Amino acid sequence: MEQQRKNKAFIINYFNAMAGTPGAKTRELLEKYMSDEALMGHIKFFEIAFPNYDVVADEMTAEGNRVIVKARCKGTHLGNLGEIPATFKTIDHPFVICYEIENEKIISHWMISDQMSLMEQLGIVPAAASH
Amino acid sequence: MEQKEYADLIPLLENLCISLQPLATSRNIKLDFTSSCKEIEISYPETEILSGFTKVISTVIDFIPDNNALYITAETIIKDNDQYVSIKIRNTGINLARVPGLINKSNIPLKLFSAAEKETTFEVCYSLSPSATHEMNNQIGFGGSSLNYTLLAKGIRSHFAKLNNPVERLAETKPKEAAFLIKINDCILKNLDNEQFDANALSDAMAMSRAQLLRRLKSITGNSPGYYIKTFRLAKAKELLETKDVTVSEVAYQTGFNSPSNFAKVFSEKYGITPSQFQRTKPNATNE
Repeated sequence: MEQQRKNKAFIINYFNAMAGTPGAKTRELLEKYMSDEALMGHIKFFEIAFPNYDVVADEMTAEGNRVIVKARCKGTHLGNLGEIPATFKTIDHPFVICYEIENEKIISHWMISDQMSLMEQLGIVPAAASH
Repeated sequence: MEQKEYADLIPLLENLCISLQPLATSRNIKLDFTSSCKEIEISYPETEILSGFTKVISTVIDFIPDNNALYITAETIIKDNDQYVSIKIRNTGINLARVPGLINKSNIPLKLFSAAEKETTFEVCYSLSPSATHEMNNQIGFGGSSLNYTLLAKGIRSHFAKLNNPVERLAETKPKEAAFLIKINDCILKNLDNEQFDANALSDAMAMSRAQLLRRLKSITGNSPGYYIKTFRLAKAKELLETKDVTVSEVAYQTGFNSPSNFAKVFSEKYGITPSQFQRTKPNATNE
């Protein structure tokens, strides 16, 4: 129980550290919280598209060495999202992420997000649906 | 037990803090309540207030690290010429600003008041104005998951409505095509009850050759003129069955089908249900 509480606090502190000033998500900072290269790559990818994006948690459950978070990513689309150029639209993108934590580091993660909602918020879906 | 329709906040919060002391003490967390008033009575159901604050305070205790503190204060304030009671819940040890949905799982109107590196203050405000209509806040605080999913559902509905309505979908991106479809739809609508109105008649009405019409319509909708007319008739028939008090036969003739049986057959092929069965699914349907 104590460990699960610590893991939840660790994730909250991680969210706080990721937010704030532009350019906060440095490699150095990421390495303080994780050894999961895939997650680092994902954050980098999203940071290019939504510089200084913020994450707000709506629900959090801890079990064993895992913390599962239902959250929303908030940001403005100012850079390329893969092949999608900046639309300058703001997003509030819901997702669920599961972190595996060992010795105060995220060692792996699993994530699922509502891609259709994201595409809609960016105005991509209607354009794509009309051929 | 009879539920009071008003609550004296001070003894209520005092007793709540006393009852939560064992939980706080077990984690070496200081739980402190202070008030600038001896009594503050508000017209809210006491049990709802108690249940809401219990959830919020116990959740904050659960999230803050050991050896920290939780301070609860109550005071009356004046805002926009109205008197309010402001209850502040301040924790040390962790910044909970990014997890608002976790804190407020109750229906009390909790808001983030301020946040620092390792500290958060939440606030609950109730109006003390006698004329205030007091209703508990039914949204999860801060535009949390409840609001988020409402917006999402709205977005999904809007998205699929546009997919089902090519004119609306095209209006945003291809206005010329949308205008063309509107013209076609008008032609079909004017001839809706005319069973002879087919692809040839439509091309005449549009002053286009059959080949031109086919090419243009197919590039926009993916369908031939004949199929488009049939789909349009069926959509109108469905709309009539849904909204008007008419018989299936009347709908068949009004939408240009040569017989009710043919209409029933085509309708079933499209919607997987006969027109009569569909009509019976209306909320105000009778067995007549």
